[in-house]
Amino acid sequence: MNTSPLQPAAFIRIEDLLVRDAWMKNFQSFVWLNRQTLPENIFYGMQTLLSMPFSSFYQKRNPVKSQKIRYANFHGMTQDRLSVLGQSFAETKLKKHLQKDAIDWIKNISSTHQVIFFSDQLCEVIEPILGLANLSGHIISNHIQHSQGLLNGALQNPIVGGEQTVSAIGQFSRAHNIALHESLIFSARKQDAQLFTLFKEATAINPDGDFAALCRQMNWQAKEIYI
Amino acid sequence: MTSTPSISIKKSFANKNILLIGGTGFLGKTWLLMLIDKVQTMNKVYVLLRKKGSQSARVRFEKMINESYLFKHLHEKDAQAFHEFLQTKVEVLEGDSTVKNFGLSKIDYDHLLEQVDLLVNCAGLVDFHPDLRDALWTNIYATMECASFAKQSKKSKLLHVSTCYTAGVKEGLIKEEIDPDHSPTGQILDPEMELQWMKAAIEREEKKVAQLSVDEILDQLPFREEKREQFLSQESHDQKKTLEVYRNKILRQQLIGVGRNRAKMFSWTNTYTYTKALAEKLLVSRFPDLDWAVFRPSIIESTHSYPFAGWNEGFNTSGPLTYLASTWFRHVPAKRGNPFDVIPVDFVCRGIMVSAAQLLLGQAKRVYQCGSSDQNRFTIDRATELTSLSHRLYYERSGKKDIKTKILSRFETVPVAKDSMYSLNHIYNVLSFFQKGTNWLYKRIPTWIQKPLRPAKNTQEKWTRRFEKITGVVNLFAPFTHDYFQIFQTKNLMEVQVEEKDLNFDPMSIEWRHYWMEVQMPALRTWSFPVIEGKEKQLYQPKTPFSFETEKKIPYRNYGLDSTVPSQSAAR
Ligand SMILES: NC(=O)c1ccc[n+]([C@@H]2O[C@H](COP(=O)([O-])OP(=O)(O)OC[C@H]3O[C@@H](n4cnc5c(N)ncnc54)[C@H](OP(=O)(O)O)[C@@H]3O)[C@@H](O)[C@H]2O)c1
Repeated sequence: MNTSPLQPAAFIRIEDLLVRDAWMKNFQSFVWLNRQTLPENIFYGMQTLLSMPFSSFYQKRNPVKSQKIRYANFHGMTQDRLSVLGQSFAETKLKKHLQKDAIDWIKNISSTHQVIFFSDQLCEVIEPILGLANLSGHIISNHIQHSQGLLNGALQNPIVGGEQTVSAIGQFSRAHNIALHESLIFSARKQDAQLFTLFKEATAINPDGDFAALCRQMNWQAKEIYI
Repeated sequence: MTSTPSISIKKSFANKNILLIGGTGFLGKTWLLMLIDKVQTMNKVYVLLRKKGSQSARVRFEKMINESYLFKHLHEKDAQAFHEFLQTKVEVLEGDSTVKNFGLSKIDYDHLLEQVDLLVNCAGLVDFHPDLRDALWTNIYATMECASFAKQSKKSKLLHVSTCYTAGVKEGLIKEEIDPDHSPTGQILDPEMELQWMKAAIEREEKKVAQLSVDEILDQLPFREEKREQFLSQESHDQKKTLEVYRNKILRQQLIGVGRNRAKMFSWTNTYTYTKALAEKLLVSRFPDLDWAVFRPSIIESTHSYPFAGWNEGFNTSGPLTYLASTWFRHVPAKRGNPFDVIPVDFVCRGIMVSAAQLLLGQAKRVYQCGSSDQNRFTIDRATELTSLSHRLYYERSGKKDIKTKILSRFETVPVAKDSMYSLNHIYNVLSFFQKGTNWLYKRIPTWIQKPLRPAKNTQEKWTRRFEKITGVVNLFAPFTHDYFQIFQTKNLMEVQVEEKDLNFDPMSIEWRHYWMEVQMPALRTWSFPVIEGKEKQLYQPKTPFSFETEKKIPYRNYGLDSTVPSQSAAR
């Protein structure tokens, strides 16, 4: 049994802080256009096009299901390709949209806290984003299951997404001896409200009307960072 | 469970005298570095080098130490200590392992016989389809010279570097053993008779070419019309010289063919592996009681981490194919799932350390294979995909926005079967069919039409030849990428526990994606692609170059400043 004392940390959601969520979501179509051969591009392209409306339909209603649909198209692709495409996507599509203010602000936080980034995205995208932003810290994000280097399109548990984010963060903090009730959380997502309640101090990033109202009501802080 | 006792490389080498042959090569040089940087405990390292042109062995050695990036960290860490170490521990001898007594003076040879505890033979001719004479001398006779040295010496053991691909076309698990009298597919083969056959075949070809008439010689040359015109316009004594050059060219071509066919007949993939395999067999049959071990690496590639990640000599197996993959070339003959047994050169050097230490301790096995397919398999389709992905990132990062770069970055090489309609062989067949057609037509049209058409015809011939070359390169590597499923057992190295962790052979620690994308491909771009493109090799320039202090020389030793080594032909 791990008996070392529990540590506080700062949990930071990447979406809509470092880079807009909408930009990151394009990864699915980026991957489709970059399979190894033309027939593969066509086949998986059709599949991606067909799945897109379903994935959007579930986005708000059942985010985990939406994610599962989205990543099912990655079936049969190699882990190598996913990793390189993640890097390429971050460099060519996301780098120019990285938020400078947010980077500086996170660097500030990391000078006093152990930082843990979390995101619904795949780790293959998150890792290079953080690398490009010159930020380091633990990452809680999604991984696709694979066997002998080939992806099967299913997400590994614990999935980061919707309500399941709470249990993913819980599992991580238990494994790393982190005391959530002593920790800070920063997120631009209203859906993380449930998560906020577990932390000592919660900060909403750029909260809009509804979320801002909830913050006032719950006594959470709000931070405006231009994005 | 009984655990094997661990060995210490440093202790095994302590106060030993090592003779290294092939120390200027890709592998030999890296091993020499490891020996002087990491082991250090030996008494002396004798490095036997050939003279090249006007450069003596000593000058060649100094140039290597000063100009190779491999030794950069030693120059930069403490140049004085490095130079002193070389001065006291290294002796360069000018010689040639294909010549009797290595071409050394009797006094030098006897000195070596007395002193040397271990001979490491890293010399070899790695060209896959060489002139049979060169392969015979470098890969067979030189190995026999090394064994004969060890036999005459009081204490010397021999570690001979061969290759895993002596397995020829044999598939499946390739064990660490030598079958002295069978070919890879089990045909009976007597290595001594094979040697006799080779000598006779060489003599026969030499005679045949000597008897060729001028017309026959000119007919066998590429661009024959041009060559004939050039030849006829020469003075008669120049013609004699030119004929000699042409004759030699033809003889080389013939002997390349003879070697290739013989190798194929006995199920080896090329003359290189055939002659390397024969040398192994001859060691077994001629030197059964000698303390020798054969060390077989698989495909040696750029350094993994020592002395720094991503160094290579410029020429290596994967260079040409990966280079082609950065161009419009698209289909590599590769069978999905086939192991691509690549091993970084620093891992090979660790393997040599382990087996050499075993030899010095008197615990050696006869054969040590050194590859990755047994423990940590890397497949050819994975290598192909990673290569394309690496080119993609490279082009994207180049910042070039032109359409060609954009298309090239997405233009991925894919593995295809050799008999697929997309294979290079098929495309080449179509091209050469057209070539033959135009040749046929050209011969039948009047001369006044021929003349203006000649430039176009030459251009076509040039392109067909270029394509032939590419097809040749691709086919050269097909045994590694497509033809055979081979797993090289590495049990003998794996079961040795080594005290010094940084000298332990541990192929499991290679993370292939990282190695291929972050180490190997950048290394190829830095060191190999420029060589392929005919550019100058990058040379290191130390602040204080190393040079042997002449006054420290032992009086009797011939340092090769003015010595003459008998040439191969003289020795023949
Ligand atoms: N490279 C690979 O991928 C690979 C894979 C498996 C096994 N191997 C084996 O590893 C060994 C070394 O390969 P490498 O890649 O280092 O080859 P390399 O770079 O071509 O080096 C060959 C070395 O042999 C020396 N040499 C050749 N003929 C000689 C002679 N007559 N007397 C003295 N030295 C002579 C050369 O000296 P000069 O400088 O005077 O020419 C050079 O130092 C070879 O036995 C090869 O079969 C290599």
